[in-house]
Amino acid sequence: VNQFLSLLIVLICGSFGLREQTFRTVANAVSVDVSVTANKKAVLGLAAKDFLVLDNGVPQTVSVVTTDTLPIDVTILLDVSFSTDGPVLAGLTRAATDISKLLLPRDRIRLILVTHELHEAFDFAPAGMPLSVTNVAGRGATSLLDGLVAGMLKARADNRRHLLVAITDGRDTLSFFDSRAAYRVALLSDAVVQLLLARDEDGVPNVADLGALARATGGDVRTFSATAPVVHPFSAMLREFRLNYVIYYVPVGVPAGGWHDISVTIPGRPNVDVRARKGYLG
Amino acid sequence: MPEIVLSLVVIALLTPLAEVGDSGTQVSVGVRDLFNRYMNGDYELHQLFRSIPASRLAVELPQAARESRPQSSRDRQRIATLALEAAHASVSNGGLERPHRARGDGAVRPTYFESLVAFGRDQLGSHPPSTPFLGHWYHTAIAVCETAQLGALVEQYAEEGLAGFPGHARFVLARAVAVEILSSPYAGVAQDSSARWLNDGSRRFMSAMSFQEVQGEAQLRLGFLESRAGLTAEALRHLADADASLSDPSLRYLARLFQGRILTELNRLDEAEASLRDALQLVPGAQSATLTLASVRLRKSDRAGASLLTDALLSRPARAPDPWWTYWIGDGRLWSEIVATVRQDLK
Repeated sequence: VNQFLSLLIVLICGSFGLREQTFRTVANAVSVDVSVTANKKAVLGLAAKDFLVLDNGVPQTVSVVTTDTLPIDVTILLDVSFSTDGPVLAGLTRAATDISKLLLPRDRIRLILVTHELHEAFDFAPAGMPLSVTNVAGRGATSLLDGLVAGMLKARADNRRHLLVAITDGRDTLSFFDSRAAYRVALLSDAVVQLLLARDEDGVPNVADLGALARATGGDVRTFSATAPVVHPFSAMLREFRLNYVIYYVPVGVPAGGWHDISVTIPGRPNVDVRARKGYLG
Repeated sequence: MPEIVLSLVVIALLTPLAEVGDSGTQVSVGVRDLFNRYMNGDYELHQLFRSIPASRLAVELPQAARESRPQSSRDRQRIATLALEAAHASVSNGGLERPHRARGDGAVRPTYFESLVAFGRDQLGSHPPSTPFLGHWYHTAIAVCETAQLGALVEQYAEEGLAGFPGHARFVLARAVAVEILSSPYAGVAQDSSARWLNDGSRRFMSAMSFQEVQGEAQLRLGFLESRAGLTAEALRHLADADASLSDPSLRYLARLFQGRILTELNRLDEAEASLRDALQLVPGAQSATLTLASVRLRKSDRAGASLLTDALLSRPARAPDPWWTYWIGDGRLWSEIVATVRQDLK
């Protein structure tokens, strides 16, 4: 919750000309990634006054920063299990390299390979570097939910956003976490989870509520043909993610501890779709 | 012209020699070699098994067996066991696929795996005597069907085994494991059938608990089944009992892991953490307990601690096999020992 405090101080001082000293004593700043779309297109130009944020039902005073200013840490979760072997896996491994090229120099990328075992191919590294994901053979079972949990448990670095992108066929065969337990981690995570589901003729995802898990973090699910390049849906998703708002507030009128429900709406724009994480642990 | 002849010779040399069987099925050199070596007691056939697709094994192995015209019951026992080993190898080699159907053919064909196991069973005759070999063969059949996660077949062979060996503890346990497999999260079981599998499974595990040899494992599995059904108090009781009676570190790990998960769900986070740390004492670095422990730290608002645990897990190049990975396959986790025992009988 406090990770964006220093950024909050800098940004608020910068935006409103306030003296840094005013905010140094502020604690418990909450940041929320918010996607605002209408007809699947990002709604731009919103200001703090446009947002109504309720923390456990109590209205809060919001500061808004568009996220273009913040670097992104992208974790790619790549399903390289037996079920993806063949053309699907070949497409997925190509995609990881292509994805790296879409990021800005200030962004970073991390790669986690998922079979029944989870393995970090490399930790956050500068974007654009060549990814060594060649010669990955589809093997083993799939611990997709465990992989998502591992990705979501990574603490967000100060002054950066964390985007967790799972590229998978959505079939889980060996996770220890079930959907419910993984959802609970999602509620507490400060990563935004986006799922890119490769659809092929062999079947459909067998994990219930993957969409609910992603949406609990403010993310969503996209599907693409397993035979088509995943870089296109990723590119669209990343473009929208960059256009998200990050809103900040210091909770007032609510007890500090325990679970806090967050509700974000835009009262003046009833027809827009607003997506944000469901809450936080105070 | 000479070039054409030369090309044909090269193609002929490069094409595996094949023989035409009685029913017209060709037996390739690879399957023939596999069959002959196994029948002569050579069991180091990993690479050969891996190199032959299940579709060929399922068709050519029976043909090779027919052509060999087995005379003795020992030969038929060898073929029956070879079929199970081929089925086991086929799980990662396309064995769970079904043969393609002809257009307009509505018949549901058995998978290659099912064909191999059924072929092996056929070798034993309709009323085989209850010899030690037969008991070991049924145990092998159960283990291979558990590995393939085919609950109905596990049940079938457990029942058949019990008919010949009443009171065989591992067969009694396997009958309960069949219910677990049939109701696994990956089996697509409808919610409204959960009461039935809970009742069936509980009854069968209770029955297994009366056998000292499998009591702890039955308690462990009953506890896990109950936890999946939300019966947390009963689950914790059975898992604690299992923990106290088990000696196998892998099974004790699971008992503590499952307790840790239930306690986490109940928000008894200190107890959950203690249980998970105990589990990690038994199998250091295991993935399932480490991730669950990290999620407990997150729920305790220790985001940095959760992140550190996860980072250490993901970056570790080699780690201990997680006992959770073999939980669902029942006695399939004991495959090496089980198959070694049945091979001993074939000497």
